[in-house]
Amino acid sequence: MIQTKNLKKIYTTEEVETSALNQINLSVKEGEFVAVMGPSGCGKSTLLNILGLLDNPSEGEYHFVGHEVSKYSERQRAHLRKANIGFVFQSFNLIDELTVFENIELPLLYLKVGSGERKKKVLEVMERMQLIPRKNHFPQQLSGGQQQRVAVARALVARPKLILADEPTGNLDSANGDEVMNLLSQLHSEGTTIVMVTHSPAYSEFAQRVVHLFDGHIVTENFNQKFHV
Amino acid sequence: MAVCILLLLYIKHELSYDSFNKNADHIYRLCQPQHPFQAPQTAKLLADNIPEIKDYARILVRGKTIVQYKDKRYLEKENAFALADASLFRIFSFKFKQGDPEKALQPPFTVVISENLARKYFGNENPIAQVIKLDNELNVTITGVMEDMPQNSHFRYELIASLSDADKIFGSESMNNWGWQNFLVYFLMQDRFSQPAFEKKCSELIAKHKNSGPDSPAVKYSIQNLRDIHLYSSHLEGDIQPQNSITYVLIFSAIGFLILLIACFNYVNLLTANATTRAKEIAIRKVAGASRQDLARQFIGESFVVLFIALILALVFVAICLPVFNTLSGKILSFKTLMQIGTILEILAMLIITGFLAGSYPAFFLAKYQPAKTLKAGATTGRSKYNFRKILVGAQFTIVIVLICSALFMFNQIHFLQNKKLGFDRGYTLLAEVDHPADDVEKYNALKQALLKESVVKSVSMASRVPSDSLNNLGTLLPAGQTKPILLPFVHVHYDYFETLGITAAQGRLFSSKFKTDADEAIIINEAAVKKLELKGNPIGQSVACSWPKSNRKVIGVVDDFHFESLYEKIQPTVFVIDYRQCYQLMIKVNPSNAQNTINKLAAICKNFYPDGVFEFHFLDTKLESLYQKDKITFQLMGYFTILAIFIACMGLFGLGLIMMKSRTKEIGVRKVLGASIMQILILFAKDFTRWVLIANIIAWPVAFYAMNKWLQNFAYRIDMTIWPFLLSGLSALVIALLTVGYQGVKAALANPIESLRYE
Ligand SMILES: Nc1ncnc2c1ncn2[C@@H]1O[C@H](COP(=O)(O)OP(=O)(O)OP(=O)(O)O)[C@@H](O)[C@H]1O
Ligand SMILES: [Mg+2]
Repeated sequence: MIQTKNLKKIYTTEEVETSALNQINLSVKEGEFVAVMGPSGCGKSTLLNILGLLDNPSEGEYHFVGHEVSKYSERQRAHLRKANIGFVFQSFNLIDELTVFENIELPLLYLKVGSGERKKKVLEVMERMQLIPRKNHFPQQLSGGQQQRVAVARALVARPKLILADEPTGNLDSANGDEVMNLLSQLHSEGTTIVMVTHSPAYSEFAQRVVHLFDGHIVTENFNQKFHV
Repeated sequence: MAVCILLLLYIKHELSYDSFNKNADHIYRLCQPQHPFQAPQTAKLLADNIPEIKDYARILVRGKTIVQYKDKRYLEKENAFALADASLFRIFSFKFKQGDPEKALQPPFTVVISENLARKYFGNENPIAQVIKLDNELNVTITGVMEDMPQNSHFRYELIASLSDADKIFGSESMNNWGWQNFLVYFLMQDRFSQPAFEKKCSELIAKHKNSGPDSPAVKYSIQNLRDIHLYSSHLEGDIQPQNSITYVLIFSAIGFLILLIACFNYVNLLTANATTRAKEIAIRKVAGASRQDLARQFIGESFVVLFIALILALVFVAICLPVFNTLSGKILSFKTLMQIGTILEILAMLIITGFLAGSYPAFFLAKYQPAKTLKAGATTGRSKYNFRKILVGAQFTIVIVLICSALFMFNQIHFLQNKKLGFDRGYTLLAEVDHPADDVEKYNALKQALLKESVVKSVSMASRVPSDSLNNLGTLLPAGQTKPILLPFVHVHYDYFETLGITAAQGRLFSSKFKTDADEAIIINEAAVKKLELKGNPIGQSVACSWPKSNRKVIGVVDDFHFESLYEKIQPTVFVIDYRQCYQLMIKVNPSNAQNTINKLAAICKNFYPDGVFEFHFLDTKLESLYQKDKITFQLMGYFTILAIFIACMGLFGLGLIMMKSRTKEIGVRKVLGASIMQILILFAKDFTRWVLIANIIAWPVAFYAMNKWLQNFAYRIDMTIWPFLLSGLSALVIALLTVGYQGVKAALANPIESLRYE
């Protein structure tokens, strides 16, 4: 599903050139759950952004569901992205002015799903995430864990093939963090491909494979014993 | 702020009319329903019979005047010269430079002149006891020099001659003629009296003494306080100076207030917008122990500092702009007025009120922040976040839309006034006044022939009234077979009057010197008069008894109705008769040519015939346009204020847009990550603003409709209230709003979403 070849990302600011990613060769198969770990500033978010079609690499190839997308325009990427990828962020990134329901509905809106079906789908995910009682609340009225559940629901609602999660548990206490992780592994077991950035070795246990990044390089790839047994 | 001070000055000036008179509260002017002019004996009659009247003064209004000193001649404009009772200077408080105000006009054939004229006529000589000749017939001695009458006096004469021996000047018959209504009458009243009872007594007394037929309707007299004359006389015709109307003063007060309001809104908006940054400051202050009052005080204090700086800037600005404003508005406002204690107090009051208004909302809004909440990020919940600010911007746009809409209507109406077909040919017609002895018609005929010899001259005529004058020469007609004489405005003309104005007969024929009887036996009336006189069948040939001159006449022609008076007035039924004695306006229709050369040439020819005359030719066109001068000025000022209001509102909107975009970058980022296109994001914001502008429209339209409907009521002939100005103003407000926020919107929409989501 994901295949990168010599992926490179260089940020040029006024004075310095930062090489955030260097020679990344990574492939993720459909249905896989991959965790990305590494110290702060090693390029995890950058990698995820590129994988998520939010940004283009500076060099290298990136094949996503059979398309070579490294030279795609913003518009093309957006098109591919909204149909295939769901995002979960560390800081939830919900829209404060919209209710829980409306937040979850957004991706469907941009996919131009009809309103009846939209409603059905949103309610379905909300049911699943136990968010029905919060339907008309605003994000600021929810706890962090609840907000992240809404964010996961929003990532799910369009049934993307790939979910990218950038430190989804970073802002949560352990109980809420566990809950989100359980959700993700549940999705994984239903067949969704997941790439997740995390700092927590414990949560990386949920993944089939852990990729360690250091200074823009992949240093090791560990297959989780648990899944091989 | 500056604008407000300007407007304050203007309003003060308008409201201050005549209040320099010590007796202003007790001086009243006698008015008839339509005009303020009275017969010569009215004042004495009332003063003798009604004890409430302590004193009275009459002013006999004259037109342009030729003043001759030694062999120098000067033409003084209309409303410069009047005759008045000696009591005038007792009742009104005009200051004298030389002479005794009480006694100056007591002896007959005396005159008081203004400082201005004294300088013009005599330079450094002493004007007292000099003799000047007025209108080539009246020799008067100067007994006083008064200071120029103040700008804010509703009359501003420069030359006031004594009425003491009016009988000798005008003949005692005239002075007892109830029909000669040309006197302004001012009463000095007792401290306390009942106005309605007094007005009733006046009406009854006059009705009793005026031995008019029992059928003529009793005229209801009323009185106006001196202070009200300037602003509340719009119902009176032919008043001495164009008086202002309270409506305009109200309009400008409203605009001043609105602009101040818009500016306040901006201030509040920017302050609360800063709230997020200030919120932390406040929270910390609170944690450190500041009470709500302390914080409120701090904010109000801050807004005062801002306002004070604004005031100083405004004063500088006013000082710079005052001359421009004066030329625009035709007023002479001075910076000196500004420096008076009263004005300073008013400005301070304005400052304090605005300070409180602008400072208090943010003060309480911010001060009530709970520190606990504020220190946690994102203080407010739900949708209400920007609503207050949006309401303010919406309110600003409401004001802007009202102003744009009004300006559009005014523009349309003025355009309409200037382009309306008046029913006669207004171009290339020169006018001049001729002061001729009553019976020298031969001389005039000779002049006419001489003028017609010039190739540039097309036709020549004389008349008592030309279009743009008011039709205030009333006479009566009694059609044969009817019993009640009908009161109508008369226009006394000479041959070729209609030809000069390019008017043709709708029925019958025009006056012609070929018919010997036309001078004494013919009248021409307009369509409206045919209706008013209720002439049955063909009006041509019907006989009428005419009062001015007293004669029996036959209708020889009917002309279509044309707009004789300004378009404020409905077309009046009008009578045209030939009476050379009443004609003093020379009309010359010329071919297109160099205006100044032609005027010089024609004036020279006239001078040959009337060496005593002063011929100042002017164009009918110019005269017609000057009728709407006041509206044009109002429109211009309105235009400037509208632009200003738009500008201020845009600044507010720009600020708000900036803040909104800033705080919504995250939202934009999220939406883009979720697949929104740039267009979709722009539409999202456009929708947001559009909604507010639409709401503004909905509020603004009825207001504008009401205001413009009121204004248009002034005109007898006006444009229809169409929907277009409303739509156009709404649309332009929308476009302005979208353009203002558009730039920021595009910038925000184009930004890379990763950037906006990174820093959280
Ligand atoms: N827009 C940018 N412009 C310049 N440099 C950037 C930009 N984005 C990231 N970088 C640099 O690229 C490097 C990788 O950043 P990235 O955000 O991927 O780190 P990270 O592994 O996600 O760190 P963390 O664990 O703290 O989230 C860093 O050195 C960062 O300074
Ligand atoms: Mg990161």
